[in-house]
Amino acid sequence: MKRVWKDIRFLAALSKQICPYYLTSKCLDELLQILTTCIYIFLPKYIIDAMVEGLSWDIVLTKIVIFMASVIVCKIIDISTRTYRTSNINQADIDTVKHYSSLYLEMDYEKFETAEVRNLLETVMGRVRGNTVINFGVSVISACFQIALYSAVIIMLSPVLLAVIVLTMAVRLFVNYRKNGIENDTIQGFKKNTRFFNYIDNVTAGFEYAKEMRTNQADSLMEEKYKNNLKERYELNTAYNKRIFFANSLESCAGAAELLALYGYGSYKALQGEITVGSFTMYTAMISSFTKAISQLMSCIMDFKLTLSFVEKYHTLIDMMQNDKRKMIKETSDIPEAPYTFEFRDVSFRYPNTEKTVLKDVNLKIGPGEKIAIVGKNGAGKTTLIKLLCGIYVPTDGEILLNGIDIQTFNRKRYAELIAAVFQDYILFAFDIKENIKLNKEENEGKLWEVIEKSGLKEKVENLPDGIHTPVGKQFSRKGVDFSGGEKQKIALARACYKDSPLIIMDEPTASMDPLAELKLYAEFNNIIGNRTAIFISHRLASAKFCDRIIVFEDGEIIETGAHEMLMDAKGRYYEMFHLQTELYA
Amino acid sequence: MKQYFSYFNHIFFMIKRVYALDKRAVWIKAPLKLTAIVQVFIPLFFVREILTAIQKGSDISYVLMLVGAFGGITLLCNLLKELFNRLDERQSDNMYRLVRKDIAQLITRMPYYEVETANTRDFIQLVQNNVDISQLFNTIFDFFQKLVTLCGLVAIVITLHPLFLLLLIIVLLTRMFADRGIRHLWEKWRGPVNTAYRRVNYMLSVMNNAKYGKEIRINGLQQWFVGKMEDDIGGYIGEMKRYNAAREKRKALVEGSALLQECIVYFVLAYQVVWNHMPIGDYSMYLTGIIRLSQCLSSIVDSFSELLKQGEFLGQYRTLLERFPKETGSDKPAYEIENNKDMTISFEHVSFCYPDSDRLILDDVNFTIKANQSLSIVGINGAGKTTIVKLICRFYKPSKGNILLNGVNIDLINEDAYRKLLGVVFQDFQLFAFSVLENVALKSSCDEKKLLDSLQKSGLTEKIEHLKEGVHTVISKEFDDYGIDFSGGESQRLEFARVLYKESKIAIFDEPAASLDPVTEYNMYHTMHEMTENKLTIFISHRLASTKFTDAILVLQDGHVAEYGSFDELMKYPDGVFYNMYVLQQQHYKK
Repeated sequence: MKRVWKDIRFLAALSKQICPYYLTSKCLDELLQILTTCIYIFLPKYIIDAMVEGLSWDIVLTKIVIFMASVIVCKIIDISTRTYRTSNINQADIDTVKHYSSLYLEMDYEKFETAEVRNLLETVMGRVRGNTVINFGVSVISACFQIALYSAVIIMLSPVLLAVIVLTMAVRLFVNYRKNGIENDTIQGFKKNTRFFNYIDNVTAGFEYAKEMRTNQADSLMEEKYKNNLKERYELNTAYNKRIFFANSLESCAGAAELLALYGYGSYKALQGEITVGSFTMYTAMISSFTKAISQLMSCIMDFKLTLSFVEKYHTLIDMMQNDKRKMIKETSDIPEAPYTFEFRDVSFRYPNTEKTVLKDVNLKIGPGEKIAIVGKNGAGKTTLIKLLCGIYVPTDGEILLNGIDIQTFNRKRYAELIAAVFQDYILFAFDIKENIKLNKEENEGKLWEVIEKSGLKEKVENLPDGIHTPVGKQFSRKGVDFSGGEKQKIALARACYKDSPLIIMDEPTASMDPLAELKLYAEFNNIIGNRTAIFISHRLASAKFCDRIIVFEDGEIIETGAHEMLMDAKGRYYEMFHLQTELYA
Repeated sequence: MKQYFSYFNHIFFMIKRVYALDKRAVWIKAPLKLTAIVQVFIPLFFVREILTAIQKGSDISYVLMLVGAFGGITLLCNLLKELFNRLDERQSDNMYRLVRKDIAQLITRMPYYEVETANTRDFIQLVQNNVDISQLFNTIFDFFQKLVTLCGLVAIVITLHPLFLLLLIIVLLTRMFADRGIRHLWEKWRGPVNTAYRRVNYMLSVMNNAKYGKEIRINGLQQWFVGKMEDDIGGYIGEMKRYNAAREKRKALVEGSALLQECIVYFVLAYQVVWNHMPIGDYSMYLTGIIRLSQCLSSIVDSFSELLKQGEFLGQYRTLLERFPKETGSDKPAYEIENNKDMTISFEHVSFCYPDSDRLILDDVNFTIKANQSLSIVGINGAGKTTIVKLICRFYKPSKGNILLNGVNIDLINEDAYRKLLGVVFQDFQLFAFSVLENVALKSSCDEKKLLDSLQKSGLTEKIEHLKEGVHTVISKEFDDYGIDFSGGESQRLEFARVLYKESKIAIFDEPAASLDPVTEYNMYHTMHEMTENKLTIFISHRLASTKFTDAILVLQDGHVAEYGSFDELMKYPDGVFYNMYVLQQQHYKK
């Protein structure tokens, strides 16, 4: 119980942080609802009584006027405040997303890249929101008020009746509890099933698979998968609906009991003359509102209970973010001054939840202005090395140093400014070319065109009607252009150049480019890189020749390092690989 | 008016189609809605009787009997409704899935060039998101339910005074008028709101995506991104606010007229009780009846608007369906070609430009690939290489000229038969999140020997042997926590295995060596040579070294065939395009 209270206080603090304005509009909302309901329950009784007692027309008219006037006043308040209330709800939603964006974007990549964590984020964000506790609190108070009110009224009729009502409400509570349990039991199964459907839909109808689906004949496979999934879903539905049926039937029985009790006792009393006809209608009108208030209370509580379970997950996520490996070592160091020397010292690395050691005792020093090529087979560890250097993973053993300081002790964002990396699986945004190149840097049109030319895109961009304002991809607008693989790579390259960081890393930068474009790049290499430090990963050994030093990787270890001529003379692995590639051209 | 008629036409078309997909879903609705109708009238009748009995001072046992009947019948009705509700839920879900599948399959039948256009894609997206058939079905039956309820209620209210009906109709008309206004408003706002919404969705999906997450972290883009997202969300909220504000006036009109109606009703009924001695039971019945009638009328209008809205999308859906019917009955004679014959492909004076542009991608291209030959197509980016592949795959038709397969225009060949002939590995291929076996054989079970053979030929035997589940290992962790992610190179080899398994006579590889390292590349070209011995093979590659493995080379420049011949032949011309490209690449490998 103490725990619950603590969580509520936490949620209240969260609401205050995210959307303090929300309380007023929610209260107003609820107040209007209660007022309108009460007007419709309690005022008509007077009209009926006046008519049954045979009072004068004037008196009856007066009562009607009072009734209608109250309704109209409520309506006017409702209409005039509606926009205000709706916009507050929308604003609260936005502010919640904003709040969570920091979790999404700042969390350790190692954790963020797992689907599990991302799903958790999504579910938690869906539940633990800015307006959660306010919605809960106000709804509960409103429901309790109504329950108290109606109970008081019914007690005046008969305490026994109230006891009956309490009993049926207990049954409803139980049913509600059961239904919640059923939902929880079944939701995962449905979700997984739906995800599979969405996947198949996407494959059959999505653009990424369009070419594939039209050349090979995966139709029958998809059809089969679909049928199987459909069958599974039908079974899930049968089981689920059966259980819900029984729960709901029980609730109907409770409803019937209420109806019998209230109508039975009420008419008995009315026949005796102990209550007026008007009161009878009032009591019977109250049942449904009473029922609604109780179920509102119950669903609020159930819902909130579920939310509370997510509060714990929310704290887990925050912990995950704050206690990542990096923060274990505090961000104590300032970024040193140029020139920059990067060093790997006895670095070993294993991906989380795997056994294979991807990097073994790597020792490597990269001096300022050096151009290094890293070569080796697929899976040898080259890209992993780079990811570690960029700081998105932390070494399992050993350290990575910048000018002798452990990079984990730097502020992440400041460190990020030192490196421009183009990964093999780089990604472009659906914004325009200009944005994709400059990202968060300041806009400098001259510099933009400079990097566009350096990366070989000048002609293409000049020929586009919207030039650098052309969106990449057709996601947002038809004016967008679907660029070819090579062109996209050039944009990514331009981006790295524009960043102007001391270190530039390129992982297979020419994989999608044709030979002429590739050659142009090598020719311009020094021009593009300038005197920055550069790390170049490539399978094409021809490119390695441009670098000062070549590092040969195999099975996670550095087996050879040196300049091209030196390695060729040594007649080791490098020589072997180069020889093989040359053969293809000889 | 004509528009409405066509909408209903579409709706009936839809009903017929869905009925064909899942009959039960349709039949369960009837009893469900019937019980709903009865539910409305039970209280009306019983409450009237009870109140009248009380006012008259009837016998207590009679009244209690009435109450008992009221309770019992209500319970029975509720239980029945619940039963049918559950059956309906299950069946509607089923139907929804079947309809989505129907739409997805429709899209597979669309020609590629339609899918590639943003216009069509938007259109498809729109249709997929809006044609919720189970919803539509519910709305249709709902509509009929309300109609019947309406008739019953009108029958009751009319006994009071026909003028009441007039009152209700006037209020209703006001409501419809306002609704129409709202619909027109939406037409105006739909564009900007949808665009703003799409942007927000994009930003949210980027935020949730691991790949983008990596990019954002490496480049320290957090603040920049959040700023952009705030702008986009703000924009969307702003649009919605303006739209809602505009709507308010019309809604206020509707609610105002409803209130006026209420005042009149209370007044008139009270008058009847006081001056004409109407029993309280009747007062209550009429009051409740008119409220229900009013609700019924306005919800019928809602159902109707909903139907119309759906009708519009159904029209678009129907258009799509009729353009790409299930049986591609074409009036051209469709040739069949067996997969076991030797294939020859010829391009005769082929020119091509994309549907929306004037730029000639291919300009009078002529060449022939003889049976069992291999061809390398080389050229700089944008020279037209991938376009040639797209034309061979029949994603597009040549603007001019013909493409012939064994002398027959490929356009005339039966589509299914043609597809069987081709095995293509595209540059941006995607594996399915199913098992290795299913990815290679494209069936859920297959000839294991043939499968292992294909895997061996593409160099994956070792990798598969190291997997716990072997060929039943699922690729990617999307649906299986124990799924394995294949590296770029391994994925590509799986694609090769797929082509091999298919045993098609024509094999096309677009940049097969892009993600491979030199040693693997070298081995691959060796293997490819063996793999494709009895096939007509086309390679698109930037690695000019690969051209030595093929029988012929096609050099494309600005959409023309600049040169065509074997490696040795082309290297005889020091001024030639190919020679120069080759020498340039070779230079980097000189010691």
